[in-house]
Amino acid sequence: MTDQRFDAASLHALREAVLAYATAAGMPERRAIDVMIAVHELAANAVRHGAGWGRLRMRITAGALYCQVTDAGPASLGSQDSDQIPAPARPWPFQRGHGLWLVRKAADRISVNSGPGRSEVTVVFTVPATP
Amino acid sequence: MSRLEITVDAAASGPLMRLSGETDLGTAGQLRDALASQLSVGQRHLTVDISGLQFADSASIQVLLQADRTLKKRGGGLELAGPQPRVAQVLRMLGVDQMLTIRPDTSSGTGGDGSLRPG
Repeated sequence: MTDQRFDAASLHALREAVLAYATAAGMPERRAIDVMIAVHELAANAVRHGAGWGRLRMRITAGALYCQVTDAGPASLGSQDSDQIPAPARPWPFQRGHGLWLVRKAADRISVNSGPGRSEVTVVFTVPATP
Repeated sequence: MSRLEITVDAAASGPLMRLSGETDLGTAGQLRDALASQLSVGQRHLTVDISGLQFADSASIQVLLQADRTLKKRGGGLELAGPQPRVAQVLRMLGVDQMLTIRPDTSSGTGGDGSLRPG
């Protein structure tokens, strides 16, 4: 399990750490990049719309990689309902700039647990079984 | 810290903007300013060489798409050239290959379409 703080200045380091962790977990390259993309977009959201900094916790449990991004800002997703996150079935609404659309597209599962003063999003990726 | 380097060269086909390093929400403003500067002289086409770009997030790609929208209103468009695998993956996921031309390589004067196929 890993636990690291991030802010605007450390997003590059965060991306590299996520990529390394997902790769070490045995994920194929393209899937590891999906994890990096998803975590970056969540962290960027915390930096821009949340508290400006946050925490990333990653762990592998029962064949799945869990990445939990938390920040202490106002509910940066604007909702407690994961269904509010734009569905990837529609094209990316780039005019509104939703990075969360990309999170939904990249991850196998996403769960949101937000409220006033706290935002917590967990994205889950299946890890292939070791042969 | 993400570092983005932007250069503009004069090519036979018009100005060629090159992005290298990484771009995310922290450098989106820098990218927006550079594109606005290029677009301010009224041209219709702009090629952006991204062969040196190692990462781009949705905030940065949004800036590129907004520039493309401006150019399309003028009857032209923005073209991306030479995306690295990580960036190509993000572009594909966002459907950018359906919105504008993405050349797989950066050689100029290619007559073929060479656009990125959905993968």
